[in-house]
Amino acid sequence: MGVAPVLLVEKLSFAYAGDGAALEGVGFSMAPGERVALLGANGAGKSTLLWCLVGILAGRGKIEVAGTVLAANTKAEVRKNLALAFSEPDDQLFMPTLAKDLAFGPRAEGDSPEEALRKARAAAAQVGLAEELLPRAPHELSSGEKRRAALAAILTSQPKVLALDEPTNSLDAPGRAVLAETLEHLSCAQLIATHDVGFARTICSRALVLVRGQLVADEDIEGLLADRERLVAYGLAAPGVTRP
Amino acid sequence: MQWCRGEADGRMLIPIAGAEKGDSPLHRLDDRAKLVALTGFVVAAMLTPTRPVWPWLALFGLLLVALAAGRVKPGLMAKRFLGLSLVVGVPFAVSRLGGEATRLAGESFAVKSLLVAGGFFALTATAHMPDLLEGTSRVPGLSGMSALAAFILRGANMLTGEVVRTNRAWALRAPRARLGVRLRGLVAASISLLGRAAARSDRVGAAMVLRGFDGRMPPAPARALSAGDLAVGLLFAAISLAIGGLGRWA
Repeated sequence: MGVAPVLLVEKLSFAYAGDGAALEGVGFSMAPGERVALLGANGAGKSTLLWCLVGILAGRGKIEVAGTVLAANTKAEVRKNLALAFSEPDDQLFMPTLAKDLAFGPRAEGDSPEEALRKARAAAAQVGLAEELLPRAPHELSSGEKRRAALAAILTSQPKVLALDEPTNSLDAPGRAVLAETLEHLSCAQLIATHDVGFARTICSRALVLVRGQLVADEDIEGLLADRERLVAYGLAAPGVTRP
Repeated sequence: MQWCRGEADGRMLIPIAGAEKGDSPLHRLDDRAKLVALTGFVVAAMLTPTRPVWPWLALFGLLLVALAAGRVKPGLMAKRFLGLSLVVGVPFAVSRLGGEATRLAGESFAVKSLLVAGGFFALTATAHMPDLLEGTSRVPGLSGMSALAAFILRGANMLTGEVVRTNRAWALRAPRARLGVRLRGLVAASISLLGRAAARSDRVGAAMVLRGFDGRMPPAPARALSAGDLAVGLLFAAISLAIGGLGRWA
């Protein structure tokens, strides 16, 4: 890779208290603007990996985001550059109105109310949320709108890497199409954790596969999806089903 | 707007501070003026002694005037007072079994509770609760409390949603269950509901931290309180206090 990676993970391991290893020696890197699918069956460690990347879970190993190595005194910098969208948007939208929610990050960073609102509007437009939705309470939005709202909320910090945890959960086919289009228009690098192989194929060119906390594949997504036996072995396809 | 809208097709709905959309004089009144009025009303209710009865009637009359000014639907108030009646009714009924002092204390508790709750209902039926919290966040010394209140309210909102969803699940899995059975099931489920709400609070907290939250809520921009609105709030508070004061000292 000629360009310096925007995300570098080396020998990352993590174990929940009282449990076995949830992640073991995971390592990969991502180039700026690259879209990578993080595939794995339920419980493979995808969410744990994402929580480690933003420092909410403290793993062993090295995580470097946009040149900053994650440590106790660099968490704020890392979190500004690597934004995480949760699997449940309801967990991520906590202010009384959508406008205030989208402005929360900029206000916490010290922006004036006007500047924060400008960023909120820009982020809403970026993900295709109508201006009329801004005064609404987040819990009044539809599932698809909530998903895009949660995405807009973290885009206000203009991150260099966007990590998405199961972004297609509870979305119907049109909702998935809108989300795919939205993500394709974002210029930041994207790490998309999902067990929705079809969605991953539409927007990613590369796939990482986690199986029981270990990275077992890092390759071109089309090549991986063509190998049905491996998909079944990784828990990404059911035996007897011809297409993932 | 129903800020905490129930989705339970009319079953065991728990309305928490639900406001109704409207364009009444009370809806248009600045929230801070309403808070001033409510504060005066609550103090007056606390001041008023159990006897004589006329100050109580006057305060209830004042409350009715406020509800009429807010064009609050009687059905909404009835539903809320019905929810309160269990909390107030049981101690009141028990007090009737005691001597005169106990009976008077029971009456005092019941009437004061109804007045204070009525004032609170009138306020919240005509004001958006998040706006109220935002208003208090601008008051020095109260900002921390308002952030805490917002967090508790959000938690209550989530818990209400969980209760509503659990109740739906009950309705689907045991549609013919008697109310008693459903209530017992709901009580049993509430332990896991609390656990789920706590887990969700944890994730919400993480979301806040990830977006730069450092323990202080961003201050809300200041908005001028008009002299007219403030005068209305002060007038209502003054009338309430005059009634309470006359009842106690006249």
